Amino acid sequence: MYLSLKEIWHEKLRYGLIIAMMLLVTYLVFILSALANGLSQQNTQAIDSWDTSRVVLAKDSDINLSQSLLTSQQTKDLNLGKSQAYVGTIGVVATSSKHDEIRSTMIGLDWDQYIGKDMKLVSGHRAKSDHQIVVDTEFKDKGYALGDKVKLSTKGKRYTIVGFTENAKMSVAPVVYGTMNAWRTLHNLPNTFTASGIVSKSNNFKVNTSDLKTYSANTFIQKLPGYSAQNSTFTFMIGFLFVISLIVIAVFLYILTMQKLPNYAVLRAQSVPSRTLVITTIAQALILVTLGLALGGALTAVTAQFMPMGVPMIFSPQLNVAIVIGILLTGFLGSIIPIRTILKVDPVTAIGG
Amino acid sequence: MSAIELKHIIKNFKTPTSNVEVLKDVNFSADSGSLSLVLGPSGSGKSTFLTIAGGIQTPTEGVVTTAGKNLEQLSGKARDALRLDNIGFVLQSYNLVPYLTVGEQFKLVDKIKPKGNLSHEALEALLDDLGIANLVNQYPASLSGGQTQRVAIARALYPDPAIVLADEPTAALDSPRVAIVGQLLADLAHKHNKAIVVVTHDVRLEQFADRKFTLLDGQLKEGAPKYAA
Repeated sequence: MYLSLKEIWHEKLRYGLIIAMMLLVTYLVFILSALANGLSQQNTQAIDSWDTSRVVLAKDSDINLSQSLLTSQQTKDLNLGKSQAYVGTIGVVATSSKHDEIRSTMIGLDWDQYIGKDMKLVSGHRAKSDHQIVVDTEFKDKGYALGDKVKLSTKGKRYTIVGFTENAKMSVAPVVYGTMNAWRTLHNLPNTFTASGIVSKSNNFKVNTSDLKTYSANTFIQKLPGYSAQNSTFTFMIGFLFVISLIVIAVFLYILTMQKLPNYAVLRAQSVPSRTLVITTIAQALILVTLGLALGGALTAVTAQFMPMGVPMIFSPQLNVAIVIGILLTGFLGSIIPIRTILKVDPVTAIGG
Repeated sequence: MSAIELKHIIKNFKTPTSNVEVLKDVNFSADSGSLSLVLGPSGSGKSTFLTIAGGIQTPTEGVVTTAGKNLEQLSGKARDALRLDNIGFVLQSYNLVPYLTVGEQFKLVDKIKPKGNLSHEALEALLDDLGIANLVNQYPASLSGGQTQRVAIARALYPDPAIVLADEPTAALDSPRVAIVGQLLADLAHKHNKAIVVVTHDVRLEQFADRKFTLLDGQLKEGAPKYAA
């Protein structure tokens, strides 16, 4: 540790550049991970807020809520308990004369069922009539206020915003919660259609008839349009970033070690044990990576403050801990690659003559 | 018992096209309390002789006994430990760590050998004797050749080794400094009972030696070389 710190202190420019490189790698991983996490959460926020365990959909819907329609004939014999709720969904564009239009997901609810009952509001109240809606706080961020009237289709009636709720996004669009009648109206469906599907927060609820099928929440989420593709894209990007980081860090440390071989030969000639040199190399790599992580983390925190509201960047403590461990491990792996070379350093090369 | 003993040492360096015999059946011993001077021209094998005596290099054939131990029978780790505890090297290329100040070169010794080193007062006296007490905060790159050489000598003596092996320790020094270093090495041998072995082509050190040897074309003979005064 003594030699590691002294060398870094003496060679400030060289090590400063290496730390800057580590900082950039760390920064990129933090930002990409936060974006991936944010995007992933914005796909499923509403579903997560319902504590969803099971989803019942029409069998021919390809596990897609917006493709599923349940008729009253199919649901008449179902006995929904306190842990189940009907949901109807349709994509809409919320327009207002005063504010920008917002592409949204309209969710129709029976407000006497658990989703409507348990909904936590930031302000306002639950929908009490068919022309009242509760919307995600993104509307508030974009200037909408309680009492504002919005259209959810090019023709038809206006709906009044009566409440705001947090964490209500589905497929990266803010959710507009209304009544089942409002959903049917927007969908141009008669009363013979009950909902798009049934959501249950209980694991025990299962409906398997000739027309309906029950899916786990995970299966349902994986089949959300674009969700798997987005997630796997980000997972691959971050995975490749880690691999590339490992290669870059390893190459840097290898070149650094090669440049230091004459110094190591000097130390070996001075009877400094090889073990000390190995520990020095690993310690130095970990110091550089730790400094890069700390500075990269700080830069990420500053960046997060200045990110536009629309950018879905969400930091997760667990994810950040995993990144820190991953990058430290990457630095450690990079530092052990030149160890064989260090162990073979011949002090005679330092002696000359 | 001799502090260092070399018996029938042969050292060959093989290359793809040749086999160079650098040391040819060398026999040598150095006792505690004596200063041995090995004189020889460049390329005569002096550095190879010294590094084999100190266990940095292994001979092709022959036996090296240092501090009562046959080096061939020691593991690499044990050889490192033996060198650390018993041998101080003053090497031709000075061998200072470039990113440590003069003062920190001694701290590094404390880190790898916490006990048995010179006291703070003894180190100050040594630095004073060598005229480098004012350089403790300097990095090696800012020192002159002579200053670097004297720091290298102080660094080798700081662990208070029983054996000092010096390779051209006066190459970069003027005659007054040679006299100081020569007297310092002689005092270490005579007053502190250390075994001092100096390989050099600097005949100015002859007056301080108890025993003189000549190394020429890989062969070691007792006595000063013919070209010496």
